[in-house]
Amino acid sequence: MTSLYILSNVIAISRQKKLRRKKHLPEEGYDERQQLYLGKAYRYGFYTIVLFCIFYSFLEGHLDKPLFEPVIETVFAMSIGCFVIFEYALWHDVFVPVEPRPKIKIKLTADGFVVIFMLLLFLLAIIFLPSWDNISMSIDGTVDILELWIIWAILICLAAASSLVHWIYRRYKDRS
Amino acid sequence: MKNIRIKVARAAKDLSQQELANRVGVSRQTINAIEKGDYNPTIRLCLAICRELDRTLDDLFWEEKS
Repeated sequence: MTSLYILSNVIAISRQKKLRRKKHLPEEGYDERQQLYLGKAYRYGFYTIVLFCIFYSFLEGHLDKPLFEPVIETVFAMSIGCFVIFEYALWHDVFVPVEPRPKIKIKLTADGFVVIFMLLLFLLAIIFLPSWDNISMSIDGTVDILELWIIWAILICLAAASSLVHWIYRRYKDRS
Repeated sequence: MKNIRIKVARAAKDLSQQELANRVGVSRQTINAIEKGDYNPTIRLCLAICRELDRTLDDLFWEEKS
């Protein structure tokens, strides 16, 4: 099942790349129409993820047992969301850049570095956790690991948001 | 509603959709969408198209009440 989703996304991405080359898309980015449809694509992708989560939680509640591990659930949701974004964008002749464009230089700022570092720690925690059955085990009987992860995820989101705001502000400042 | 006037003006200047798109800085698909009436361009893009085709906004985009 997981491989099916990953395969569908790989197909979508490869179609994007192929059509991008075939239709001679301008390299300097999106025009106003494409930006409009790209915004809609992201919106529909987000709605799809939300709907999937609602549907999945209802299904799990109905069956009264977890269907997959939490990581697999997240991968499903993200895959479906990305697939909707790619396909909606493709439908409206907007090509999501899947390869890095050489004209844009990405500078890793301090807060960007913090986000990446925290994400790495988060991934390491997921990888080296002994078993998913132990997710509710307590540390000193006060805070369980799940709560720690939620706090950690919130911190990552805050750092990412700060980084994004900083990046947008710098771009705006450069343009003006 | 199709915008035939842009297509006529473009043909009069002997420009392809791709050439016009390159001049005004958008994709060919966007010019196609404007000509087909699928997309309403911003005033900035309208002005750029008018400048490239040597026409006024009225010539290309104004619609008389029927």
